[in-house]
Amino acid sequence: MGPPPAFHGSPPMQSDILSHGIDDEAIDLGPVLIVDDDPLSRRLLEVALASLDYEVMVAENGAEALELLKRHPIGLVLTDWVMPEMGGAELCRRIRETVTDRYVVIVVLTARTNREALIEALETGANDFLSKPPDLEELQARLSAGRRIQRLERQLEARNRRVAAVHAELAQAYERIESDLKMADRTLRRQLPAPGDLGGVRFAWLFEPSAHLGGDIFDVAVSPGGDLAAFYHIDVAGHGVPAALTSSTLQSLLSGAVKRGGARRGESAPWYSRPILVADELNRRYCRPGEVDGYFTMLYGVVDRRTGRGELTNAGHPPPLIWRASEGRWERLGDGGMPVGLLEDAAFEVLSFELKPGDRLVLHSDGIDECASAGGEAFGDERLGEALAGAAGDSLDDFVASIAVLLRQWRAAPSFEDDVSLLVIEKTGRD
Amino acid sequence: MIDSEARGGVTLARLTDKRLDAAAAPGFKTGISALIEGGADRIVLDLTAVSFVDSSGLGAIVSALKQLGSRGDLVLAGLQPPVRKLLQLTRLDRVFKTYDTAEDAVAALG
Repeated sequence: MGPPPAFHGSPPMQSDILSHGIDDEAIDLGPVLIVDDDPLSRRLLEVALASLDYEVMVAENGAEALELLKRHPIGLVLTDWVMPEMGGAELCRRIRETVTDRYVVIVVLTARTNREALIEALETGANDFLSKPPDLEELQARLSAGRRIQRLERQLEARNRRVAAVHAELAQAYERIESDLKMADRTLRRQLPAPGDLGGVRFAWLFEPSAHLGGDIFDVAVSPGGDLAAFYHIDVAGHGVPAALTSSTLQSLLSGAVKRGGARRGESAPWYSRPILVADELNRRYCRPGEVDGYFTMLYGVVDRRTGRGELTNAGHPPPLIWRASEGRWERLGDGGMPVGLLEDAAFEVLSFELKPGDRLVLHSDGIDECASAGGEAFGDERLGEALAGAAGDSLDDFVASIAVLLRQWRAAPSFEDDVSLLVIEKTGRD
Repeated sequence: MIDSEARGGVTLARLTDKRLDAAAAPGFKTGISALIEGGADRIVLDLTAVSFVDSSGLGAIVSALKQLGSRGDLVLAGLQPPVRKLLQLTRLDRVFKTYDTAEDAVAALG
């Protein structure tokens, strides 16, 4: 086992990511590039910019400008509009096309009365204009404005980088959680009973988990030195880790008690042999005053392996089905009951039954009843009963396998919405 | 989501989502809890729009009942067949008073 997952504190707040600004003085916005074919004009701008404390680079034409943009972190370009070889419009277009690792602010030098030039400049990607020759104050103002745009763009970039980093962290954490859940699922699955023959009764089961870690658990256990077999099927409300933990706890509690055997001090019979007592006790443990915090539905029963007589209590589960072999028909046992852990004053009832040789008792989760087809129709328990009848001559394993096929065909989707689980107990002809 | 309306001393809380399931239950719980803490003590839960309630949804409804406790009444109205079936299966139809329509319920509590 590796080290425990490190999830340091809580993930960064969205507000932290968004509000964290960049110290203005700390960013280097790079040099300003002057592009002009006229040397006098170039010199004038160079001097003016230097006097404003800008770092300056110069290019005589568009080709040179593009070259410099490739090799230096220039973020602001001051370019003439009318130039031989490559004009201002063409330069703007080429800058927008080729400089993709950063945003370049482009200020075009042109007479403001030249409306066509203005429109074309804007369309080809320029940000702003300066008349030629520029007034020093206006030059300063427009360059400041250009710097503001650069700064905003850098902040945006930095924020995107932080978001990407947080995303990577979250993706990693999510992967760890997913893998933990898968392991938890495998651990739970290993606790399910090996189908088998207990002498007098035999059983088999089906468990098709849904996409989420679920809260279905079931077991059959025999108390030592006795003829009693206890069986139960539990469906904890909800999904995920809390439901899975509760189902695992319940299994340890119930199956553990049965397998250890023995009555508690002052009891005439072991509590696990009395389904109502089991339901009452669990209800006391799981009810919370003033709220509902985790509850479950349950079928819990005991059966005498020799006689096939038994009793069960239904705490909110779909009614179990019984296949009467000698009569060739199936029926439901009871019609529900109050779940465990909902209401403190819940009253549980017991149902008696007798399994003759060949009879089968089927406990199942509502994941089967509610299994929806592509058209949204629920599977229901009639189909389950019919399948039970149809499998009369088959082995328990074959019956279970046929249900699995039926449900998968019905669902016709890659996964089940809710856990599908079923426990079938058969009274055999011998002890 | 809950649409709530005061009808005299009765609070009519109408659920607007079709499903009261694991995803919707926490929001529902918070909403109803707020109404109860805000003083609502005669509450009609209008489930006319709800066609599906799962174990989480059911737990949330019972939680509201328990939160209200002896201070007041929480009744259900407009139960669609699948929801009614679930209440019968879990015997909660004996715990909650149910009415066919929200209006019937409001009239009864008022």
